[in-house]
Amino acid sequence: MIAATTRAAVRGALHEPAVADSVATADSVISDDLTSTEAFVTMFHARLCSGTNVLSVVDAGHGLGVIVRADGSTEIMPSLNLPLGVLPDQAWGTGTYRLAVGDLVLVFSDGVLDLFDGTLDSLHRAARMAVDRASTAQAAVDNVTRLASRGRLADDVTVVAIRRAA
Amino acid sequence: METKVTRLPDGATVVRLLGRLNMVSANSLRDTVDDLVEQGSVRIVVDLSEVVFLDSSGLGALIGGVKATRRHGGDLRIAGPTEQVQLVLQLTNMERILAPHPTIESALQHA
Repeated sequence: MIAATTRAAVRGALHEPAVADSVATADSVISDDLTSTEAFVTMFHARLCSGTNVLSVVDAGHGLGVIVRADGSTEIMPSLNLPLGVLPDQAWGTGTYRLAVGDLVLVFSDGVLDLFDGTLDSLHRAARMAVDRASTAQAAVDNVTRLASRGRLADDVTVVAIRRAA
Repeated sequence: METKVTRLPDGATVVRLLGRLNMVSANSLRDTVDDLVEQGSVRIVVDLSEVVFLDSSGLGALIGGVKATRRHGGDLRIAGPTEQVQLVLQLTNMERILAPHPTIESALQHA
């Protein structure tokens, strides 16, 4: 229910010129309800400009976004903010990443940490396994799905994949 | 999850948690902290050295405790978080408002 409400608040704020403004508006819509229920929401929100191939990211305490570059190196997109509902009126920071041909953006849910040893290295390992023999975003998702189905997991694993093909 | 509450002579309270701090046990932590705040115990150290797992519900209960104690002029600190708990605090940036202390003693010193 909280996720659905958050999504609606974000969609209602997509007209804002900058990605940080969208998050600020969405936060102002839902923060009172989150505060009163002592709930919080982590969020990865990004816009990709197809003209410049620049990904603009606002990360509210999610911290599980990673870019696998075409050469196979992995780069974590660090979260710059606290989750929604923790503090009023955060100054929202935007990270910008230029995507070259063959670069793959992966955003995981926290279940990814349970796939390996529960440390941050799990994120790098999951990202490397996702691109193993994968030349499309779909193939990367398939790899993660296979990885997640091999054992009994306490939490679900969700992944979003975006790849610049040309 | 098991909870042990110890009141120290200087008025601070140590809440020691053992097990998994998740959706199931978060409510019990919330009740413990609410009771303490109601009784006027607003300087609280939560000993996390034997918490093997923390999820977002558990983190929510800790943050709720920080807010409740600070509202009454106190504070809630955490001590001895395990590697998994530290990672959750780090990824969410929550360590900015819930700084992990290595020991109960150091948490009390800063309280």
